[in-house]
Amino acid sequence: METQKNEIEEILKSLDGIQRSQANPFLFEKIKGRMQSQKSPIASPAFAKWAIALGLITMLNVFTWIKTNSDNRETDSLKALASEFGFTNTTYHY
Amino acid sequence: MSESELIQGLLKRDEAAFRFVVEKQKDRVFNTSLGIVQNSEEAEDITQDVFIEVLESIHFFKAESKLSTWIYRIAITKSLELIRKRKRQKRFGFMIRLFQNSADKPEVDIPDFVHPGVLMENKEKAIILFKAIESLSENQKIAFTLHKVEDLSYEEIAGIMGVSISSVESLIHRAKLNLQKKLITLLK
Repeated sequence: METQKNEIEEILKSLDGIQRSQANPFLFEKIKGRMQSQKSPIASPAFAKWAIALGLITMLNVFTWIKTNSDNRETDSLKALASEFGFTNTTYHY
Repeated sequence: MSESELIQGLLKRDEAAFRFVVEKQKDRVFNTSLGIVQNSEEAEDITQDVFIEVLESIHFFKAESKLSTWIYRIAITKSLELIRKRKRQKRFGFMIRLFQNSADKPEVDIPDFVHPGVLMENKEKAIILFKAIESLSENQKIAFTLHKVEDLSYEEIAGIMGVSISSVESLIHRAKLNLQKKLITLLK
């Protein structure tokens, strides 16, 4: 019991005489480099994410527009064919 | 360079003033962060973040305390943010492991932290002490670390933490009691 108490006291004193640890000597240069890279939004991952999202939305819009247009064109040609053969009248006379 | 000149320089984003502040305070910031987060790479990242924050937020500094006190506060806030993030990740990792076969992904074993400034003959004991310090509450951890690792006076700690000197005394006293309890379990 007494031995454990002494051991704990020794552990608690183990930081006595501790020296301050030193930061990287090139810290200022590293900070400057980081700040310069942050200034350029092109390089940031957030910008890349937004650019990808915007690209996908644009592609989806273009695809939908093309699809709608081709559907309309198909409908127009069917209507023309129907009128040529006189199938435009939807009322049936028996 | 006086403190008000430095502040004016930082407000104008003067490189010489910024370099002066970084060179003067970097060891304090690094040592404080290292004592709290107990990892050299993360402490260095925090140190960089702190000085970027100093430059970006200098217009918020009201000069009611010393510039160094304000910088210490930023360092402590950033270090605690990292510890909270780590805890969240640990909880999330635990949840994931619950749904995974434990043999698929073994838990990463974090190596023991050895503070580079500890005297050679105390290294092994200090490893145990830093392990015990991790179990302290945030305020007790800050007060104890600033006192023992940064060698700050109770008055300086009170200024940084924004509490009275008697509160700091009480925090350090309770930290020591909790460390004794933790050490009993660690030594079993």
